[in-house]
Amino acid sequence: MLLIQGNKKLNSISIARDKMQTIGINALLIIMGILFLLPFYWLFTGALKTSSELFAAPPVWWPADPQLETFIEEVRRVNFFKHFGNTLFIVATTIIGSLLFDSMVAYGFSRIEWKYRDKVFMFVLATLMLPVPAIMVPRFVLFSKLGWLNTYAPLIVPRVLGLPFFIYLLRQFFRTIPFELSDAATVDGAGHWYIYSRIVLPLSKPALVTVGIYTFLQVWGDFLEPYLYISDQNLFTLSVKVQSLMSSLTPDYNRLLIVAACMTLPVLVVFIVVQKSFMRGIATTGLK
Amino acid sequence: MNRQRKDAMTAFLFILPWIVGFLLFTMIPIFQSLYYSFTKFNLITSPKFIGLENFVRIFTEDERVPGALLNDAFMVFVGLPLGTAFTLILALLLNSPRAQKLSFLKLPYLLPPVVPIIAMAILWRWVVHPSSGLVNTILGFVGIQGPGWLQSELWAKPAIVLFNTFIGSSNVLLYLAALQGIPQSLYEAADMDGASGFQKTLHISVPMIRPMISFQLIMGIIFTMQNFAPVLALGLQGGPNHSTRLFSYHLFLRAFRFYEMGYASAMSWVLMILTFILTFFIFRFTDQFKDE
Repeated sequence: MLLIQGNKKLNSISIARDKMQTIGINALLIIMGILFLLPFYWLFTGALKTSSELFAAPPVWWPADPQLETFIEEVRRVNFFKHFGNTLFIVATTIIGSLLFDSMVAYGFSRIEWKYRDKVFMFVLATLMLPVPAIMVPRFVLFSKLGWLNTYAPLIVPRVLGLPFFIYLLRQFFRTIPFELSDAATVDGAGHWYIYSRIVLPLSKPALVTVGIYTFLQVWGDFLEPYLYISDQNLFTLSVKVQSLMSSLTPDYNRLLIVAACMTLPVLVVFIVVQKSFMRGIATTGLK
Repeated sequence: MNRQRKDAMTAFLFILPWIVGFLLFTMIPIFQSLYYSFTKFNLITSPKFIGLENFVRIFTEDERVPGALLNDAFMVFVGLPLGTAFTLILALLLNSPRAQKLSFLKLPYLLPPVVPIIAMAILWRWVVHPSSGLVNTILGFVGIQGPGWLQSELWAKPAIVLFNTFIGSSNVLLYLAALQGIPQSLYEAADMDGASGFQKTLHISVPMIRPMISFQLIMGIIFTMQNFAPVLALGLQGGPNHSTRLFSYHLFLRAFRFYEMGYASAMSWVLMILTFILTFFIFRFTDQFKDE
């Protein structure tokens, strides 16, 4: 009898401890989640603060009088839409080029039989490991010889001519499309170009969309390459524009935060629209 | 036979874009870089062969190199393990059976990596401002006097580590995905033996995702050693007092500020070999783990 009672008491203690742990873990996770989101709140409210509010101690959590006029004025003054347009042009061209060429290459590595195909593909994947610095210097020399500095060619051409990761992603997807479909078309006398453009591509929309989104995110935020190859103010992408504003002797934080917020906004919009498929993408690429 | 050859020809045409891109923008540049590393080359006059002089300069003459290598060592041996541990602990907490399965708890980690790095850097510079920054304010809430971060010789590198961990936060979800792939039966067996949650984490969860951890460590080493974009974007210019002059950043300055293309090429090969050696040791280390 005594023993049973004792057990009960022990049980209720361990249940209470269980509950405490559950609450503790979830509270911690919520706090961490908020900590990772807080910078974004800070960015967008910061863009509406006055200069003195920006560096007030203790910090101002909400701008007393959101500075919409300053915001609009600064957007105009830094020629935001010109650099927005430059960036968008590069992004759009790169997406179209990547979708075309990456899918062609992926088709060649998945839907046509040839000797050593899979060995060659392993080699393509291995090139992912090649170090950036060793390529950076000679590429710069090459582009300067080709007269490509201060054009968008160095940003677009190498990228659209096949990124191993995207080729891999599309190839994996193409392999899941039933071969009966292409066999039937072959019997009817269709060639590979027909099968590629009329059968495989239309069935691969989800994979193509994924490649498009990744390309958008990478190119939109790319900083190093435009910084190296573009020095003409008129051709600046948003990233380089921000960098040039930042490296002045007395950077205007108001202006910097406004431009930073404006260039982050499109990313957030895309992100919110596609977050479900993106999450799945991360999970599957992580599991490869 | 004829059909096979025709198919091979067609395949060649399909993969031609990659072949052209690879030869032109990767293969040839790498060989050129090797050649440049034995020359004196300033982009204007043609490369002049000087043998091993560049390499001698790296290891014996360049005053900045030892400091840069020490900075790299801090980033790789202190910063990276701490960042990885933090990321891993978050993933383990998210994977805990007690954690609520809400996407709200996971979504925040997807965001920082997709936002333009320069926008994040602007934000970061302001957030770690010594007196009025958000980070030191939050530290103040719990009674800690925050350091000077980017303006302090001691704390500038940890500030970069924090920044890298923040913009690499999607790694939390990569670990989580790996953790969710662990067969449930292992945990059930451990439950039968009366294992505690902590024991299960230490003896099942972590060992089971070891391949993912070593993969992430290798990617982390490559990123930390070769990517100087954070130093550049945070506007540190290698300072204060050279404390953030990583080897890769030093390379960048030699190449793109002083146009010493030959010397920079030699540096890039040294950097590559260093990365390779470290990666190799990670492989060996994780292999040893397996044997035990």
